[in-house]
Amino acid sequence: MSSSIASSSSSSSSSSKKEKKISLKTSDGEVFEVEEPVAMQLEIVRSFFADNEDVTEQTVMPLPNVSTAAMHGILEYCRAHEEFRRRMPEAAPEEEVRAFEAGYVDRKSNEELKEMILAANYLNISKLLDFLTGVAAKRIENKSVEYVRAFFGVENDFTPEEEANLRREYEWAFEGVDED
Amino acid sequence: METNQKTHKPENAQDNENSDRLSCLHDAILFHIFSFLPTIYVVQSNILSKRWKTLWNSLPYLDFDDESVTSAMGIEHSEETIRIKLTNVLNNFLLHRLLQYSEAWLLNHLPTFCNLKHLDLEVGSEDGDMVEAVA
Repeated sequence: MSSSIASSSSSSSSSSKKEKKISLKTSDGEVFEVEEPVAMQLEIVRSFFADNEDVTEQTVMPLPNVSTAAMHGILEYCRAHEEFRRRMPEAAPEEEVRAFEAGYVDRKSNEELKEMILAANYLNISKLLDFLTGVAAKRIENKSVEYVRAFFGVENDFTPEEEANLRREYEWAFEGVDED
Repeated sequence: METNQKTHKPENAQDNENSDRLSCLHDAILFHIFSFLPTIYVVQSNILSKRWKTLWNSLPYLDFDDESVTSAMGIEHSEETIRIKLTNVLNNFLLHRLLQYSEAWLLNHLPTFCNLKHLDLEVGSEDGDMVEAVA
């Protein structure tokens, strides 16, 4: 853990004191200046700065697998959780967290959700990854094969005959699936 | 199962690289998503494509219970239908996934089988007796 500026500011109006920022560059070249405690939620960033002694405040860490759009979503989530943590360091305000997460994910399309799952996995943010994969699970629960194929962008590479055989073979698992 | 396809995508997918990348949520992520769902949904997923057909066979856990099975199948909660359906699903599942052993054999041998680490088995009979086994 980088400890040069331990706790940047404890007051609630934190911008008065200069906070250490970490520069992160997304795949499409945009540089995000991220408050250190927020950036450190990204395990890949944390270990990058912990393992490289020669990085400075000017170092821009490239994140070639993360798009700008995904980064906006990631940071919104991490900033909100940092804010919860600052206000209630002992135990997160569960109701508030749930309300935030519900609103947060409602605004995400399936494509955005998948993009963020990939990003959260790459950046190694286990809390966010758990949350997003749980949301993905809810979105495919009880949906038809066609819906789930579309959700994951799966190309059906069975012949019609093979698929018909499979459907017969697994008929026992398919009763009661929702119409889309 | 007969197919042993790797996850390589065909070359012709280049025109839509982004959505192709997204469709490549790798197995670990898919298992992560599946871990939130009762196993019956994972069984359903084997019909998506050849790659997915091999996925569910390597699922690291199984989770069947009457509630998930019946809600997945939209069955009304009549005890008899639940019992029949659950038995049907389990039998089919075991047929596909394990082998055709008797229930007693499974109870005795499942814990030592396939590196099983946790078994939580509840079997209720019609007159309300409950047999529980936790390994």
